[in-house]
Amino acid sequence: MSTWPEVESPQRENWGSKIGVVLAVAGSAVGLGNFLRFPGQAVNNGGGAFMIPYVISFFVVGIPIAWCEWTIGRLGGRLGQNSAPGIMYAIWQRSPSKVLGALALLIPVTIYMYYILLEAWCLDYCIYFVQGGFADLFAKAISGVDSDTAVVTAVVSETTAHFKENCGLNSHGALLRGGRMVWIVLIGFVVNFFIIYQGVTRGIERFCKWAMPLLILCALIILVRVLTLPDISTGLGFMWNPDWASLKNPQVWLAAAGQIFFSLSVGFGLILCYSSYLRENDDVVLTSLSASSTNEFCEVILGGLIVVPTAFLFLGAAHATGGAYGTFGIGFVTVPAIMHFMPLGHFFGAMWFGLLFLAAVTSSLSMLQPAVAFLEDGFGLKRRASVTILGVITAVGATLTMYFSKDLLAIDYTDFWCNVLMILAATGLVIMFGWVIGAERGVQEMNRGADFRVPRFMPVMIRYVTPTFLLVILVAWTATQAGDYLGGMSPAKRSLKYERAAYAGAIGKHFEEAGLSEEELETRTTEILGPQDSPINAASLPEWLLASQEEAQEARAAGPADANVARFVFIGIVVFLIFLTALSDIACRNRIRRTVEQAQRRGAGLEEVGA
Amino acid sequence: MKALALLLAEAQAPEVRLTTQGALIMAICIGLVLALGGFCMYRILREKRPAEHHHVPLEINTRDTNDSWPGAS
Repeated sequence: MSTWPEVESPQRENWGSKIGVVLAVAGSAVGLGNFLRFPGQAVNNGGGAFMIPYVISFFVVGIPIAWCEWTIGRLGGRLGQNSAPGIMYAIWQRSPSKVLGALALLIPVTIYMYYILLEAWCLDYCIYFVQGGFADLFAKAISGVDSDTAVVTAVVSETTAHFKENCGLNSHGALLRGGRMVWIVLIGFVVNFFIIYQGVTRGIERFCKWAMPLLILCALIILVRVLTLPDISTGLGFMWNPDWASLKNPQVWLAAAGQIFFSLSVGFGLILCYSSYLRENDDVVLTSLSASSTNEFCEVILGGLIVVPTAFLFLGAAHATGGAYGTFGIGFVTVPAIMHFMPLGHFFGAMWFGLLFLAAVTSSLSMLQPAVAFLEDGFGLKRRASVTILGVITAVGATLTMYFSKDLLAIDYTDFWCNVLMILAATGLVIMFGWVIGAERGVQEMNRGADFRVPRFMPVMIRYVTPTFLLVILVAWTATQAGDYLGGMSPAKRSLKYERAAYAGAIGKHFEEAGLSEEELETRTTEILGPQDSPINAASLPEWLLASQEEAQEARAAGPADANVARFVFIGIVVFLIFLTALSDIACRNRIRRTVEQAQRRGAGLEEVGA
Repeated sequence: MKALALLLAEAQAPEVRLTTQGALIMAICIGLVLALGGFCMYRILREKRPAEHHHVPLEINTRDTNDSWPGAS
């Protein structure tokens, strides 16, 4: 018998309907990654051939992790827990579970701190299209320009300049000085926190029940417009024609696995929290599969057929993949430019950014709910207090992200470290399911109340195949990308990179008329500047390049400051993780432990195999 | 001359039309996604409402009340 006093169990919330939970979880997964990241990844990694590793990854990584997370979440809910630390502790009362729980809390909250900014950009672009701002910008840019190629260049230059200025890429602090974006971010904050304050059923579920169908309807209208454009088959060919040779490249397999993993938003706490609101015998197998298939519909059909094919059709291959800004370039440079050339483009532009805003809100809600649930479950706070505390924490983080906006530095670094932690958390979750709970026992729990049973090979898959696949992704992804990010935290390396970029720009302009390919230009640049990562010898530079020396020195001087920002982001995330682990530990030792004990006394634990 | 050569090369470059292989992959992927989504939605929507499940036990005569026995006073 426990010596702890009984804890007053809060009234447990549940989802109102199965379709409601499917739309809420699909809404959490459907975001900018589906509409912008997926087409960029596919076109850069073999086009149609990319879909082979993509589909394999969906079944080997995506679905098994989703099923594991849904099952653990529902089990945690039965034990009276809705937060990741509580759920992990209820199932495995050891130290690693507290770290895993803290990770599943840290990742969504940290992502929210920059995701709110992207959400605000979408709303801002939507409003700007409605106001006719882009129409005025383009009219000025193309006045006096006659050739088609020059019009494309002028429009893309205008959208690039608008993106850099409007989203604060030119200097740190620019967004906070501007005023407009601060108000838009504030609107995003108010919308998110108002819905979260309403609760799971009255807030999240009710919102997702109309937002998701509306989002899909808007995307379908745009899709019909795109597919009825003359010559769209050239754009579809650019996106879908397979380059079979790319399948020999391990990077393509890595990109496909990464895309599936990040797109489904599995393994790092969002689903854990949402599924804890299920009832004891609610079907996790079918619900999970439905949410994943809704996500795939938005990604493959809506994401794969709209942006890149249209961008290629109107702007050509050079601008179709977003240029230097990658996914953000596709979203905020390429798409506004496309709308200039598309009939009724400004109407469709407003609709497109409106649907992206809705997608971003449904994702944001899923990032906030785990932390609200933790404050309620772990410390017995009321919803108003939990929402207020979380609002203050995320506002501080978002303000810092807004301040360090130059070259998307803070967003880029936060995103990278969160991605590493996401894979780590998912690996931990699957290992916990397969080895701590036990794959057979876990699958038996998974099948409870299921409309159809998971395949018989699922225990083997969860125990061996999925964790191995995840570890390979973790090691390969870290090995190929961590070097750049760690290097970017060194003032010397960052200075060198900036200086080199300034000279490379001048070299590119010098050879502009020679029509060199990218590889040839890279070779020439290396011949002139010397190998990457080695200091540039100013004495050996050709005379025509000496004019750029001042610009290169200025760029070099910015290096140490930006390296400090990169280090600040890394240290910030580590400190936040330590803080959350300590907080989880305190909550688990006290309130969470008592509620788990009470639930276990009621016989809410996991059944033995065959029981 | 150089510009003319570039223009000629561009004109001779093959146009990127959707090939049969590309169309096939696109159709298979779209088909797969629609089939999976359709299967899931069918299974979700055909489910009976919980109220229908609860209806049956209430109709069972448990015979533990006086008036449930034939001839009981």
